[in-house]
Amino acid sequence: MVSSIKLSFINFLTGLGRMNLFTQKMLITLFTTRVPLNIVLQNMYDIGIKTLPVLAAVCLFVGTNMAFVGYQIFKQFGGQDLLGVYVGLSCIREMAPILVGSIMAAKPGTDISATIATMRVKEQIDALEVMAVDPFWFLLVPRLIAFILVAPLLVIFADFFCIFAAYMTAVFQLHLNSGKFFEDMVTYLQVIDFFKGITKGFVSSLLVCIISCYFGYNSAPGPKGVSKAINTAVVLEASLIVVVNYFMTEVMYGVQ
Amino acid sequence: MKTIIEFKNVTKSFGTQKVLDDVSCKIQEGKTTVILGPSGTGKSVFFKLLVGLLKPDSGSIFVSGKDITKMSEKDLMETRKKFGMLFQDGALFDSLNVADNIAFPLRQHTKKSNAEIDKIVSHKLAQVGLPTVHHKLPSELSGGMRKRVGFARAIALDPDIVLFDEPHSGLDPVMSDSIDKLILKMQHELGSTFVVISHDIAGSFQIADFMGMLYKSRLIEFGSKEYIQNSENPILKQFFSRSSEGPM
Repeated sequence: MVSSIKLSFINFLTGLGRMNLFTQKMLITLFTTRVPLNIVLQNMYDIGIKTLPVLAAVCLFVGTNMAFVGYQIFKQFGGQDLLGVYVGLSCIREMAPILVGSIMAAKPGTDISATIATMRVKEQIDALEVMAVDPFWFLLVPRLIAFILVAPLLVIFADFFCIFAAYMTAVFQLHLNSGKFFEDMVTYLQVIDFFKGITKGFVSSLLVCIISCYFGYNSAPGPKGVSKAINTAVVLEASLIVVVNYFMTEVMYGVQ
Repeated sequence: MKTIIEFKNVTKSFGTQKVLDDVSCKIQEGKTTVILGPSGTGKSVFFKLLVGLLKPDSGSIFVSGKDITKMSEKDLMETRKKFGMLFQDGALFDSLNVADNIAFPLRQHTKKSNAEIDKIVSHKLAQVGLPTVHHKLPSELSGGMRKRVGFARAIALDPDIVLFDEPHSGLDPVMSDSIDKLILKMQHELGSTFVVISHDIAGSFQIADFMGMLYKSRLIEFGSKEYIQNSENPILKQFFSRSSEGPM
């Protein structure tokens, strides 16, 4: 029992070290080579445009739900007018970054780990190397750049969709005052909140990209290897998004 | 004859399992060398070491006189441009069509125009006997066709050395024979050094100038086709006779 725990701990540390080296290699390639622009653009389309409809649908429902729940809570002490502040702060500071991270893990994240793991299993990554093409340069870093460029934009869209849905629900279904909804939101929200939210979404997305690439690239042979790569990546990403988000919130807002 | 590849006392292990044990051989330029052996004897590792995808635990591997085990990653990338490789299932990129797969190394390593690349792609496809499949996706091809397209991609840059990883695997005897004839024809046309790993005995004798036998991680015999054919080594005799009785 003790030796099994010891072995698991050693394996965990080994994995962490390997992931660290992998990330370093990605960053070195990012800063020392000129990555093909057409592949970056293709990845930006796949990661950004194709993710947007899913993100919009999820954010619209989350925004609606937040308006309902907030209204029920604030009504108990006559504070319905605070709904705009509540929705604005929650969405921009917490919900939008977490949703972007989660959707990135669910859609482009799984797509990356599945694609790269399949390429590994079908010897296509070996083929790239034999053809003197660095897989980090050709496969991984273009995806990393696409994530870096697309993630902040997706956070902005998520902010918009959540607040828009909450506003529509508040005004047209709960019959709250339209002007008051935005007036309070603008009063209590600061521009820095907006940038902090973008930073959180950006960091979560970066984690998703690196973890998906790492597990896909190091996939074991066979269909089981591919499924394990995807599964491990998604579980780790989902867990890390909330954990890292907590620590970022602590750093950004803990002293206030 | 000039040596283009040399393995000098190469040993490679994964964990406690020794996959190649003190392997030494010289591969001659412009000839076809076949490395035979039963499954799980380290044939694929032999190739991965040869192109620098793996590093040996000990020993040296020389390609055109340069030790690739001591090369930097950058020099290794340059050396790999000398190689073309046909993988077991072709290893074609699923998202690219046949023409783009063959054009891939040309686009990466040459400054040729699209028209020039198209011309080379058509020529290579004609050479491997598939002149009309430019726009098909790899998923639309049969196993034999995928191997031929993989072959066309492997020779796209007219490499000095072409490696074949189990070119007969998954093919029926007729298709295997046509791949052998294609290898013979291309070797004659290109004049490159061909290295084949295989466990197909009949096909290997058809294409080989030199042969080696890997068994239990060791290269137990290496020499001309005639030398291997007439060898009294009981392991070789059993392998060639496809018998389940013997020292193997």
